[in-house]
Amino acid sequence: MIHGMCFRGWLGPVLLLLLATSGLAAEAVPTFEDDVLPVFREKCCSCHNADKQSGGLDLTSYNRAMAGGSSGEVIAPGDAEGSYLWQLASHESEPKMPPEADRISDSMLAVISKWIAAGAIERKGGAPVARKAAVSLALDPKAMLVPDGPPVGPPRLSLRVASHGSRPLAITGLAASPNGAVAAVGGRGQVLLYDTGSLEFRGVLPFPEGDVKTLRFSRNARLLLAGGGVGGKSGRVAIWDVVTAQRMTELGDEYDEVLAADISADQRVVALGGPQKVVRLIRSADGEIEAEIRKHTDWITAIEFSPNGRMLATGDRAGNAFLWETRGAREDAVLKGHGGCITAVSWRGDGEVLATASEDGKIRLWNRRTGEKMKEWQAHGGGVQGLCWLADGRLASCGRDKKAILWKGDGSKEREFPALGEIGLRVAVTSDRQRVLAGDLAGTLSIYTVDNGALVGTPDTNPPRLEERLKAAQAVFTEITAVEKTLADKAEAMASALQVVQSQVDDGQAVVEEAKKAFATATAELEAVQAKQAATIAEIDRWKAEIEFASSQGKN
Amino acid sequence: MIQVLHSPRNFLVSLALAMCASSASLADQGEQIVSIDVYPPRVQLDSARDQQRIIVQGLYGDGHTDDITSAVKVAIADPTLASVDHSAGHMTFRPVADGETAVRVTHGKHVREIPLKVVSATSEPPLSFRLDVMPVFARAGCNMGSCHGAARGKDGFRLSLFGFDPAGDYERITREFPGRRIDPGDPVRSLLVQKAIGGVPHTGGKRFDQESELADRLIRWIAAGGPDDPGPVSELIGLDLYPPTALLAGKDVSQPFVAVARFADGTDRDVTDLCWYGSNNDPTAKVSSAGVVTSGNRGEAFIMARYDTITVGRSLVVVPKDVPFTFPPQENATWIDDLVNAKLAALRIAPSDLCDDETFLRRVTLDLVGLVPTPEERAAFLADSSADKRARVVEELMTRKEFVELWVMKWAEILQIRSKGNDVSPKGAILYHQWLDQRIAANEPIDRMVRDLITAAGGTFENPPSNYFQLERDTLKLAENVAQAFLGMRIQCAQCHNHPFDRWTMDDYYGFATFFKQIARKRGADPRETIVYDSGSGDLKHPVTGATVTPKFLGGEVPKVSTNDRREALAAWMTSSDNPYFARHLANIAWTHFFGRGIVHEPDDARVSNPPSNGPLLDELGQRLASSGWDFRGLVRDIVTSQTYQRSCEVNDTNRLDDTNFSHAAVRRIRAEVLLDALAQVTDTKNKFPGLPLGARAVQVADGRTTNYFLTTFGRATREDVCSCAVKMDPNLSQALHLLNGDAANDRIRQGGLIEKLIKDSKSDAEIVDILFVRCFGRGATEAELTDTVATVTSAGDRKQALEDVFWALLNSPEFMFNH
Repeated sequence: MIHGMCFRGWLGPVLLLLLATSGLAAEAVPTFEDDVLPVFREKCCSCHNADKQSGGLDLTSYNRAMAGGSSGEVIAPGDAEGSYLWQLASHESEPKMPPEADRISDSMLAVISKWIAAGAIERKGGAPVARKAAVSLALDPKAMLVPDGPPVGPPRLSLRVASHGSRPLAITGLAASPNGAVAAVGGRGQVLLYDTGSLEFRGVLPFPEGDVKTLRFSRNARLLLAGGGVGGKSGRVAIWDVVTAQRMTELGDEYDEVLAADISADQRVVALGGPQKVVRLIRSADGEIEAEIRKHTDWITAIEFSPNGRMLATGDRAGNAFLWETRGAREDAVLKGHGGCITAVSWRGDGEVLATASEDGKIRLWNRRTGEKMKEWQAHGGGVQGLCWLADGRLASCGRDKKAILWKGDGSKEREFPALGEIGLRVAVTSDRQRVLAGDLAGTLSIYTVDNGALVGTPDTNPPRLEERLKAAQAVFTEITAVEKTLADKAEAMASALQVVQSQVDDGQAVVEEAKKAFATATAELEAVQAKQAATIAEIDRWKAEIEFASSQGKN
Repeated sequence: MIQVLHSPRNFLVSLALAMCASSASLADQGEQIVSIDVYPPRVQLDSARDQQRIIVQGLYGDGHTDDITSAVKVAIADPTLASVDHSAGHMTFRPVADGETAVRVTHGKHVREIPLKVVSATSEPPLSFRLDVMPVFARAGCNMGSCHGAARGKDGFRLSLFGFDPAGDYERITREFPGRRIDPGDPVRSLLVQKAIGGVPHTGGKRFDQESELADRLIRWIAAGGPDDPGPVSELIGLDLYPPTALLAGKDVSQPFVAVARFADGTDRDVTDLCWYGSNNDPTAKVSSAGVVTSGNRGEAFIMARYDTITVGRSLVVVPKDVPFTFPPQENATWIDDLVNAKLAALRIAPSDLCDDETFLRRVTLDLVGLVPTPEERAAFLADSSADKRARVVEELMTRKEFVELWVMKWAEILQIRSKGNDVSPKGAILYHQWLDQRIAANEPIDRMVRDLITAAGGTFENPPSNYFQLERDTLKLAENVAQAFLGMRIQCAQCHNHPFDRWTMDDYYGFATFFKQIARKRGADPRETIVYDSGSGDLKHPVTGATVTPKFLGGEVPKVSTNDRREALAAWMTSSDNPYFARHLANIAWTHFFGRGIVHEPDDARVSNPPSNGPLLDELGQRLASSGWDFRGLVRDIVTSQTYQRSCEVNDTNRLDDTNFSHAAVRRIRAEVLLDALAQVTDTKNKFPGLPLGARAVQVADGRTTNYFLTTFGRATREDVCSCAVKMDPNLSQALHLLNGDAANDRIRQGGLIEKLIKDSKSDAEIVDILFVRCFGRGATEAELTDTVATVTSAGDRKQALEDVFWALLNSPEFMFNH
């Protein structure tokens, strides 16, 4: 009894406190059943119901709503702005919902937003859904694998181009050296190298196998890999030593062009793929096929080894993306939820986070240890095409909206670069993190500064043949020489005219001198005469005075 | 003669008349050209790269035609305006300077002049994606359903089927997989070009040469950067195919065709090289991909050309060369016979003779009332010696209740009357059937019946035709059903892409379907009843453009409709006597019933590429039906009393191969319900169907879901599908086995006890055998049949068993199962 009394006495206030807090919460926090479902029913459920399930989404029950639709989960408890449903309903992204109608009222939006932010509670008294263990996107700079040693650059190279079209080739191959001011751009039958500092054209690496569709520097910047070929016919990968510019090897024997390829950090193995839907891992030493990945159901469009080379990420045209262990090509994870072709896969420098770009317009970040999605955001309307990490954990991307964008590591937009002229296809970042390169469908290579976003330049990606350059220079020379001659003749004529005038001027000068002299003499004579005249006048005056005086003396 | 050549119908009629009248005198002129014609009738050249070819057709005294393009002389009145290339069977005009002049074509004493006009002779407009590039894909077959036109494309590249979505195709070619398909900097090396010219491996093989006009167009367009059209392009409004008709004599005669596309801005274009060509009768006339026809066997072929969304066809006849032919004189021909015979004469086909009285009586009784004639009816008919006895028996049969029942069954198939899950209760189906029965029995005009049906609203019990909207609740399928059942058109294709072999585009389809979009339903007081009403709001969205679709009649105008009278407007249009489809379709349904083959065949598949085998006949049938106040019985009377209906199925040398022009009777399997009723009738047995009294006829069954093994085996329609093909008329093995081994024949012979009764009546073997022949075949046994059969019976041990076996054998013979 005493015990019981004690217990009750202790419990009472706690209970009261609990009741008070929960009551308060119920008042402030919307729940699915009481607050959100009525909104859905009024605005969304005519399409998103159990029968129609537009977009695979059914919003008529809590569980179905939380399960999401064909594009994945639409509600991220605790993160309203990161929830796809809120993004569409608030018209932050496309397709705007409800379709072809005004945005739902602000008060309704507020209900949804508050509900998600508070953890998407199902019914009164329900517990908030635990926010997914937010894998930290924080980065340990020391973990980033960055090549060291002096910058690597090519020797002096021939500027003789293998081809020159009436327009540049769409830039589907673009890479910047991770250690050195070199960028490589794919062309028809060739790789073009540029200095990313001076934007100068550095030279040509011939690729007689066909058009270059993908370019990669090895992680240590020593090797350059080009993949491509002839569409519908043949595909291959070629590898050069960047320092000597010597072709080291050719790998692969595809029946269509190679669309994606990469070389592992230890340079032991190359992965490549294309419309044949198979990823092949080929030993660089002897060209033997080490493993084949046949899990993809559509064209292989993206391949990248992790920075240490132990993992491989691949993506295809149907939106399937996988992580594999490089050794044995064992499946590690399926990266689910892409709504369109995977256009790029890119590993962060520490190998902890993988970014994927998709035609569905989104960039997604994946935890490499769990294979789970950490973050996704709408990046480019119509589709993301190019994506790469900066060594400091930021991202650069470009896409069908003709934009190139710099993102912070958490997916927030840091900077939008001046618009591209066409669909942006590939981006690359220089090793000094100073410049972003973006290549577009029209074949224009735009180079921007990271710090202020200014367009530095657009080097010619369709350089003319040397003979044509020489001819052009000669033509200019001939033209200039002609101009020079006319000008020289004109100058000569003017000089002689000047001479004539000058001699006339000189002659005139002598006359003046003489005249001056004569004038001086005349003046002196005149002055002398005048002096004499004055003296004479004085004499006259004196004599007149003397006469007057003398006269006056005589009278007296 | 030249004037009428422009109209194939008049051409054939007058030709046939000419041949009937004086074939002998014309035979001498057979080798003489009596006139020439030049096609197209004018040449218009609209830009520097425009060109136009023309063809010249010669008409001979015996009515046949020949291509004489290479044999004529040609001159341009003002040769400074245009040039002509007259070589290798072609005659092609190209512009030089703007102006108008004439082209003079001479062949012997025959001269024709056609106008020639040149505008913008020096302007070279940029290539248009829609006008210049899209036709390349259609012509080369790239966007066929089996290739890149498949819903998911082919080998990773998709084009819209037959090019219904040019904007999407533009996107896919230039931007879907950036940098892969075209390379404006080096156009010839573009994958799109290399695949097509066979430069790289291509599943579809090489489609054209690098040196061809098609490749040249593609390459020039890519070199220009692969530009999209800056705005809407001029709309294609028509496709003319020349010559309008041709009658080729003998095998391996060539006739080139010329196709001219007309655009809304007044320009035209020679698209002969860009069309897809097809023939509906290759043995008679094959057509090459260049549009050149080569003749084969005697017959008629329909030559089709498709360009963009338009398909057109021209009829072409092939007759044997140098075979004398005189159309046999016809007496007592009705207007139907005149039209049928005109066509036969043009094809140089002589019709079969009329059938005998016994055959006629069995045929007409089966067709009109779904029974075989009784021995008494036969005896009376044979005894009648009056000249009009066939007409009188038709009148008599049409007054019987079985006549109504048969046509109620036909209409119940068209209206798909059946019970269906929770949507149509058995009660609803029966009420619906009763409603139909009353209408047909009262000989109510069909247009009124269809109008009541299409506009039906209210409870499905209270107003039974509203069940129609319960049987198909999906808006699009409902629209398809209405088009197929009442207009004879299958528009299904156009739901997803423009119809490849007909004129229907997706715009037409959705414009028509949206008439039904506002139909709404709610529960009635009786839980089995549904109330159908118009909600007054809602429209379909065009799946390609996303735009809201306004109601538009098929091939017709956009009506002014307010919110609640959409179906009224539609029904008025459908059943109007001006409607080009409705009356013809109904007439064709009736015709099909009596001939086993439609004038348009299948009867619910009328389309540009499936023309009527005798257009004038179908037009006249439809017109008379409409102008008679939609008197269906009158139509039936005209058909059944025609000589065409009464022809024998015995063929002659000229009509042996003909199965489309009604030159002889067709041997038709008797449809399931009628066969079952006939079996019961001849064996003196009774059928039992759910909900109907013992002895009811299969024809009377109201609910399409009611069926039995016999009916299913013999192909009774389940009425779940609107298609006329739902009634299966093909013989198959299980039918034969069911009659041979099943209870259908054997048990009925026992149950009916007919043999027993005849034996009891002390009939002789010969009498019994003859009676069985009359019952089953509507005719007595021949001498030989009688002798053989009686001999078999006599030699058998068990007389009753032997006679039953004879009965069984007769029921299993084709003569019983077929109407002939």
